[in-house]
Amino acid sequence: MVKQRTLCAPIGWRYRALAILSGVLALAGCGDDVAATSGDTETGSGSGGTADSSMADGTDGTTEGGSQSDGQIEGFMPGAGGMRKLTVREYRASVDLMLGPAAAAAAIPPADIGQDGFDAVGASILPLAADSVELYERSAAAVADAVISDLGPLQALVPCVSANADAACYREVATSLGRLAYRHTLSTAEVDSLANIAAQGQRWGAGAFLTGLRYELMAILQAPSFLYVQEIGEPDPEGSEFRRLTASELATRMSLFLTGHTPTLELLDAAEAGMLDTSAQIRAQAELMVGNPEARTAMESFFGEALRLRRLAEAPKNAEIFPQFSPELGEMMKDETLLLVADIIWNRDADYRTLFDADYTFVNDPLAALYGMDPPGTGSMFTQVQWPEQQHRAGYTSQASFLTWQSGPRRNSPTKRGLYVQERILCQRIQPPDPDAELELPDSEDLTLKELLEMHLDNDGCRGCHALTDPIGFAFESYTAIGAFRTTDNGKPVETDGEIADIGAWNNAKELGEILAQDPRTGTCLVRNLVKGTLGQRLTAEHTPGIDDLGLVFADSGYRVQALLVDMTAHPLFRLVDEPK
Amino acid sequence: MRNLKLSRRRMLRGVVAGSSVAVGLPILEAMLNTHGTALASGDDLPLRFMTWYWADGIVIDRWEPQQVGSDWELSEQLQPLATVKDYVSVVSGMQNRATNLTTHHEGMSGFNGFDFSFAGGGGLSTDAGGPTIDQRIADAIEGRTPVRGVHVRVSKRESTDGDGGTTYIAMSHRDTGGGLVPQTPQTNPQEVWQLLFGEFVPKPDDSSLRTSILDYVREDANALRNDLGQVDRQRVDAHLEGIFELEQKILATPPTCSLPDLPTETNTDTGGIEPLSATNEAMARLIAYAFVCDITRVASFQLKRFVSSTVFDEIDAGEIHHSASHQGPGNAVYQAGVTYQMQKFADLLEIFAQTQDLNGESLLDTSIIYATSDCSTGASHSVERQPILLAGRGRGYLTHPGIHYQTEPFNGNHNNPNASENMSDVLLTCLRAFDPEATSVGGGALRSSTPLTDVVA
Repeated sequence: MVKQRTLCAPIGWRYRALAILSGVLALAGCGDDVAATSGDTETGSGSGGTADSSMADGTDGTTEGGSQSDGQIEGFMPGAGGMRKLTVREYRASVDLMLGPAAAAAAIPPADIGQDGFDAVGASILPLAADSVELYERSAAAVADAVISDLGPLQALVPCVSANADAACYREVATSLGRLAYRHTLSTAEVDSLANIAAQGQRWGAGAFLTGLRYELMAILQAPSFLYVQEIGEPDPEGSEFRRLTASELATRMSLFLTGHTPTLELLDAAEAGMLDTSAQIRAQAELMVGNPEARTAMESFFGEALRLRRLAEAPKNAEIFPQFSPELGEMMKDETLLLVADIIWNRDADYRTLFDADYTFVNDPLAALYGMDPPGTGSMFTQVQWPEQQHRAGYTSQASFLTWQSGPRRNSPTKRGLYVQERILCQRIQPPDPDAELELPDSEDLTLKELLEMHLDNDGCRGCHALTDPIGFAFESYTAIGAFRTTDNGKPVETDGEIADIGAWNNAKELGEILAQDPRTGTCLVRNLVKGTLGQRLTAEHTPGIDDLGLVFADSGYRVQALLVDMTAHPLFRLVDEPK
Repeated sequence: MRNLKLSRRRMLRGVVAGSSVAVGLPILEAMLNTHGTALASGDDLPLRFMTWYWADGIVIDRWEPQQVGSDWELSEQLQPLATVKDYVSVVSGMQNRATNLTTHHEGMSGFNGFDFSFAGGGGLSTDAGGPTIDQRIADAIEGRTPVRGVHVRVSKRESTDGDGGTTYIAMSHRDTGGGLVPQTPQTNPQEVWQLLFGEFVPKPDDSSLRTSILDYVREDANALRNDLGQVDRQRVDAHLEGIFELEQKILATPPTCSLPDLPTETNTDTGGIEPLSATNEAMARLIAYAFVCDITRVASFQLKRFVSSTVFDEIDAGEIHHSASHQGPGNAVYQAGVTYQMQKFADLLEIFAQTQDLNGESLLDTSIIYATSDCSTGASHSVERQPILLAGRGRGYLTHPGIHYQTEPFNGNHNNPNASENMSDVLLTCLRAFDPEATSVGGGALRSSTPLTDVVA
């Protein structure tokens, strides 16, 4: 038996096939079956909309009249309630909060497993592999041992703790540390259970208080009440059909969002005292938290994941073609991008979209050498510099981090680069290629990569699909697969001009960056990625109205991320949840 | 103190892939009855099962042997198996009957006899079907070993293209009643050592305390359960299952074998290069040791994920293997990468061959290893002509020396190869070795109720 296969000529995205289409551009002969059977919840049904559900209701983010968040948002639906597991970063930071940095350093929780591009989504939806329970036990033991070897941090929280404390202190540990760990006041039964484990441990340890304490700590750190964040909510007192997070649930969500760890006792106290009930109260609290350096760390982590910076050190590059590349250089590329992000958000509180049209960047000597600039003479220290005008660079998509990660080991991938811009910067869904399409993009001695790709695009049905990604990628053909500047490819001048109907026309990467910075989808896309990457929500078309609404709020603020972080905490999509999943 | 019997140990020396290896072997007379024909408990001598996965396919006419039946010769890409050829049967020309297609994922799920389902993440995001074959077998021999199964992967690299869903993250998926739980693999040999042997290191016996804590954890999990919906209840159930398995391990009688040393290999990059061979061998030795000690009888082993950005630096590939696969069957880097993966499989089989089992046979005599990939021709992601290797003798269950079973000769068309029969038949063959009453395996169009008997002794 032979299954018939479409012979689509080959090309670049994922080096695997040509057949890519968007939901709007139903291009003949290119992956219709995939679209029909994909069950792609993000594309949604009945929207007829563009590729992504953030566009599914037909808004494009430019609607006049601004946000509706003070009133009803038409068609609004919040993310599902339920429980999400602390990510590795959240677990460590929470252990740090409760038990100090040495305990946090000892923590060895099981690794995160991302979904939909973010670890937080995996932590919200994946069931735990059986091994992981043992890994959590081992981590709990390691943390407990660290605490026992230096009681200082725990004593700050529970003063009765000492090597000679009496058994009553176990109850105080359960009450005080337990509340911090579980984000609720423990019931008598819960305190009893923990004290009993501690007492059993003390007996086993020939009466040593610290032995009992070790097992009590292990119990707290293994408890699902610590490991999983509950977001169940209660009937919305304002009468919506959804559930509103309880005070302590809201405090926890805010804290994880803005500090990366579970809430402090002060925040829990405030929440339970009714001081996080009104939008004004929430905003005031959020403003305080945004002003704390922990918010920078939390955002650095988010952007590190969203901008694909975390694994740059292991970017595969052919050593003969790119002898300059090393894991260390990959780390520097990551730092360069994070410096630009921090400069825009924190130093200048500027328009987020500057990330795509900034005429400056941050380099040290090795990166300056890569870019063909005069080294600043600062060694490994970074300094702010203007992009050289003749290189036509602007923003993140001109930085080595993006250019390196969205390339192959041997050559550029205009398709990959274009796909990232469409899917991660503009949040447009590009359908995967037809599974039967084939790729055999040959090497060439005399054609440029653009010529090679375009030649193959002439095959039936393939051009239309790649027309959404490759022209974007061609704008970056002035830069190699590790981000160095070049004017020729295979001996011929590179061509960087291009056009896509719903994006615009450009002559080079700088102009494309300026177009991306002006595109209203860019701001809404950040909102969307934040909801996935920090709240861990798997989004469907139903969530689009809420995200679009917050996108308008973001626009009203001049696309200032600090303002967005505050606005988001008070927005219905943050305070409300749908039924537990 | 836990009373751990430490036995003497002896070392076997052998050569694997050109380097000298030492396989520390436990002396296990205590595990056998006086005649050495059964376990001291009266149970049959243990049979082991492992799935082994290589990524991104093969070059059909360089991989499939020319001859069929018992007089087959190693093809170009199977040359690495020369020293263990008698212990290998090749099955070619079979069809993966998957009906949902997206590239690679259908092969990964078809590996275990199921279609995937499209997952919520969209695009290349799919959830695997299951339970997978290793989990079916673990179910069939439930409770006979302290550890239900071990799941490892060698390459740490990921897809840069947004592959997601559970198909992508694990090759073993357990059915816990409420749904499938992906058993994500470990990539650090020291971590695998901890999971297999760490529990049995002599230390003050605090098992009653640890199980008291687990009782408390269970109670806490159950208290959460009430407020949750179906998705999260399944997640709580998976957590409860993990608690149960940890309890079983804590309460298990320690094995009578001596424990192997903690491996020095941690699978850490050097200069951006993964130690693939060293990790492959360390993992193989750990699994072999755990099999002989009867700590577990089931393993899944993934060399690398499909579509990962893994580069086979040890053969100076200079290109991502998956990318090379798309250069077509004629691409030299791709061809070398297929052979390289076969070499890694051969290295593992040689370690099994050199590992002496309880009754003096080699571990290869007493194991069944099912190996395949996610497609035949990588460039077209064809799920026709699935390349399957069945290794080991299975305590006499599998035919020996191995044969080449081929459904029909290759039509010569790499992108549209011909195929027939159902690859899941091989899975049922494997399952029957552990559960002779098993009537079927897999699901949907891939379900099989007809084992391939040609490879059975």
